[in-house]
Amino acid sequence: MTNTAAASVSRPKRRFKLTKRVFSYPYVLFMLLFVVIPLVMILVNAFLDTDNNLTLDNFADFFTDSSSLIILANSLLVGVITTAICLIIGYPLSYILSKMPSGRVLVLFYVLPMWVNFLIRTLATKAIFIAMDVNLGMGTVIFGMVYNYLPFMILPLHTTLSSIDRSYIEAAQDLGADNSTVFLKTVLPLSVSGIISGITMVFIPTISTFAISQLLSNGKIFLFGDSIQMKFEQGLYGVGSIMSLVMLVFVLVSNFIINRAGRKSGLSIGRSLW
Amino acid sequence: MVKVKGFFEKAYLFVILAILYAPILLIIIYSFSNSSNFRFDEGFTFEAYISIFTSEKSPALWDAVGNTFLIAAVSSVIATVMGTFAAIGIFAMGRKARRVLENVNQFPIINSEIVMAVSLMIFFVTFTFPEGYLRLIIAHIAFCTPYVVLSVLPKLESMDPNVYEAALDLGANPFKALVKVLFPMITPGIVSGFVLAFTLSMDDFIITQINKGASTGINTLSTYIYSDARVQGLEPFWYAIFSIIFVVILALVLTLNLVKINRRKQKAQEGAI
Amino acid sequence: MKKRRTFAAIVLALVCICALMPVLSACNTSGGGIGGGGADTLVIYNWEDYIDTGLLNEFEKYYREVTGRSLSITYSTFDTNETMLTQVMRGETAVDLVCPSEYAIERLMRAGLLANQTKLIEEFSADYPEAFSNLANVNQTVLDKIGETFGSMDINGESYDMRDYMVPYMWGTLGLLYNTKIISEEELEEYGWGMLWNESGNPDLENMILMKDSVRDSYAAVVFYMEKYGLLPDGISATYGKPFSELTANELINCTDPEMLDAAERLLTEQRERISGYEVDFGKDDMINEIVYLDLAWSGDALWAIEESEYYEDTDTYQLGYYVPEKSNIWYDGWAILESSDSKLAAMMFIDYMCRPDSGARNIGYIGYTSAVDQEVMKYDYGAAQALLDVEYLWYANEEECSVYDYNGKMVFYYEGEGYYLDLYGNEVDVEVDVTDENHLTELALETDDEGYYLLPEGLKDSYPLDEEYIVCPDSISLFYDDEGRYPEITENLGVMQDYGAANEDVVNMWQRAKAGGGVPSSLWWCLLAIVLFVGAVLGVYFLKEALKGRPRRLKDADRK
Repeated sequence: MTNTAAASVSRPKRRFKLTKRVFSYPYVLFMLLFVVIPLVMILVNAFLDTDNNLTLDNFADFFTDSSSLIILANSLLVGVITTAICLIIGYPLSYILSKMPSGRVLVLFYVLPMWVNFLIRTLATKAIFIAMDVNLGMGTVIFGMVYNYLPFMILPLHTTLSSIDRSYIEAAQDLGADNSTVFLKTVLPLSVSGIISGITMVFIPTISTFAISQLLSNGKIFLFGDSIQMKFEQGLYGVGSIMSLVMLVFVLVSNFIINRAGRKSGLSIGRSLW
Repeated sequence: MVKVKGFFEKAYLFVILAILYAPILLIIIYSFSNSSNFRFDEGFTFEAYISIFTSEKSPALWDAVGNTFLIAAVSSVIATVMGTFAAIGIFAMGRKARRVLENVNQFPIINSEIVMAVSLMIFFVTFTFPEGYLRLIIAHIAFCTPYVVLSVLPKLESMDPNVYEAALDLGANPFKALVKVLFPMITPGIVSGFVLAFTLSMDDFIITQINKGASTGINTLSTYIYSDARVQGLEPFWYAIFSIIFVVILALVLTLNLVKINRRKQKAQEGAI
Repeated sequence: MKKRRTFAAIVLALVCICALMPVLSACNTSGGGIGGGGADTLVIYNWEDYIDTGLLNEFEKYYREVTGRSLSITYSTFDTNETMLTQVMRGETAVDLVCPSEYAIERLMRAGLLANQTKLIEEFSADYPEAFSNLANVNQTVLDKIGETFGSMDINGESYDMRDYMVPYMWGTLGLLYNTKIISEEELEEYGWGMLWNESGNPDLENMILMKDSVRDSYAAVVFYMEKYGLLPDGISATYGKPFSELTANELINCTDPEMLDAAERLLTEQRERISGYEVDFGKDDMINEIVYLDLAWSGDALWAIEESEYYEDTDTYQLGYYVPEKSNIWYDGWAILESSDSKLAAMMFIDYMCRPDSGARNIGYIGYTSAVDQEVMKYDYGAAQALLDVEYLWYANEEECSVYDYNGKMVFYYEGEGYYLDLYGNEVDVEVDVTDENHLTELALETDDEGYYLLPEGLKDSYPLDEEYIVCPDSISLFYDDEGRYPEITENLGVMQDYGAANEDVVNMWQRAKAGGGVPSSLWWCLLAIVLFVGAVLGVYFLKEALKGRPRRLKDADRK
């Protein structure tokens, strides 16, 4: 399928294919300019001090400061727990929905709450907790995160689960597999890519969000996103950039994992993300 | 046995739905209380809804509403056009190039919002982009377009490539072929991409907050609500306005789906006949 | 073929235009902003919720009247001094006028970013001699206090006076907003800032205290606490060259010696375990809803919260109270013009406009903070009184609460319950009640309406500053302007914040460490580690399997081709 200029001259149809490729160039240019270059600039900023001299102090500042590491650990913990809960709640939900004929419509109702501004939703959640006399802390923060990011888990899971060919399952059943075996041997492996994108779509925003944790713990739980925001607000660009870089590492790892999983499952890359 | 299982499944779906909707229900209920701290001091009243128009802050509120829709509309239209063409282009690419591009495309989706916001801020500051709508619209396009690409690509894949080629063979010029054949086939993908882009742009907080700049005074709904509580608590009209938005969206989704289901039923009946 | 290529080129061009549209459209809008049909522009960057927004439009009109040119104001807001500093010090923001706190102004001054207003006034007075008369209305005590700290700042060997660079706008104190049912005044007086650490041992207060999520304010609270309880580090402060225990209020809140920071961090970390949390926005609502009972608060916020809180008629108290411990922080927010501004005239005139007594009163009514416009000026100003009447800080005089006398030709109001006489403006009048026949006090029979409110007599209409049918209750005027919460006495014991300079990052880091606390309990750590290892192992196995499968699949692909 690779197009070479020579081949295209001889075959007009391919020639047109070549011109169609051009359609994506504005977008490629745009992404290069406004996504890739800004990220490179963060990298550059990480090595600059306030007077724009090259320095490694920012790294030292970040990796020797106990609070940054504690905050990172806190965020990872909240992220892992939130993601686990989202998966535990979201998987059966998406599975049930994918079996229902009206699942495609029903799943929308699990996404609809996102139309109400997250800040006001979080405030309402807080009001409920207070009315129930629940102490604000780690538990409430995790609830808030799950509440906010559950749709991000349900959507990709639902997409993959409902795209599984029912005939596989029927075939397995015909071959005498009981329900749990069918699930473990056919449904689960076929939905791995959905699980992985769901995990990524929940984990990354959870560790990097700000405001939710602050509101639901009265500012006692301070996550990585809060910290990045605070560093930039205080004008500490260097350390802020380092922290963004750390975040980027997580993102890149997720990107890699998604790609590997996507390639295997036959679904084209990232297709199950949304 | 099967029935019991079905019952549990339905109960599970319902419980999660109830939890998801509890805070929203609370917001709608308290939008009739004209207070922002979840108390019913004044009894049932429409004050909050009236104050959307009469409050001292309503000019600022309407300004924010206007900005939100302006930015969302402009950036989602541009994102849709660019994303659709990009998807067609990517679809036509070789395997390797395609993989690389899809990779770059999914990056903004996975990327954490705060990192993207901050990176764009540094970028804009370094290259002295004028503050204001330009920055915001570029930023919104940057995070919306990948979703458009992702919703158009599957439609292209499921399309029969021969139809398009046939149109060309039958003497349609490429433009005609594109408009008459290709676009109608991928329209559902384009529409859902557009809706998604619009929603995301409307709902965005972090990227807008960090890139709105100081000298323009631009606020969207998300950034305005964040700043509103600073001195005197939240204005009651926030509850009213988000209740309205939510109810409108809910009604829209319901009717659209009812229409779809009806049409499907009709088709099924016709098929049966 | 050619056709196709041109077609592709056209489509490409269209898409490119789409991609560039934001650039083009924004060029238009920014062009409109600067040109704006020949109008002057003024970009104001102020705290959120910090002005009666009606004043902006009125100023635009006023500006046109005075200069004959139209003006368009862009009003923009920030939520912390640091946000403002970051935006402005980056130097890319085309802001003309900012209104941060004193220490942020100091930092801007030291960076050479501010314009000298005294010089500006001299320059502009030639053309507009009347335009800057209101600047004299600023409260002199406030200016003096600023002068004490910032009167002769040494910047690069030269002496600068901050009063040349800023005009105070609002001011107030830092204190404790408390629930009057839970905390008594005696407790507050005894323990002061220690209340935030629940030194009184009140069981109701455990986990019921809110701190400010703001470095400067929390640091001020902790150093005053240390000072009161003898927790200050031993030895001599390197910065001030005297023992820590002898530092003044001013020096205490600005001391960033490492010993001090360490001690503060220890106490703040300790405090973290005992309080409900940190806030900047929602503390007031939480206090009113009794979710917490004690909050570190700014005076303006506190006054607003008290007014919103419940009033208990039987004991004549409010649900909330505000207490400023013996030593505290006094802060000033002021207007400063950026040197880079192109609209210095408009900016300077705006500052002057904000110093009008009616503007001051309207801002008080809208924001609830204390305006830096002299209360003595506002007291006798029609516009100011009207503004306060509109927001019900003032009310009309009623015959039930006071009776009216003529005392030597002057109208005075007698409040029986309180036993004092007030004149029309709420000033106390020393009436010598002489029961002999030479009594100068005769009761006046003022007309009242059906509900007993005194109507303004005809004879007074010209001299009375209010254009009202009624007489404003003099007691409400004195209650307002003598309110200690609103107009605290400015003493030595109120310290002013200065810029930390290079030590800023250390303090910020200290604060972040204190807020992060000790981190995650170790049991949770093991859980985390276990989960990560498990996920890692699963992924590893998965990829290994895939890698083994990979080769045959590629073969299959080749077959297909």
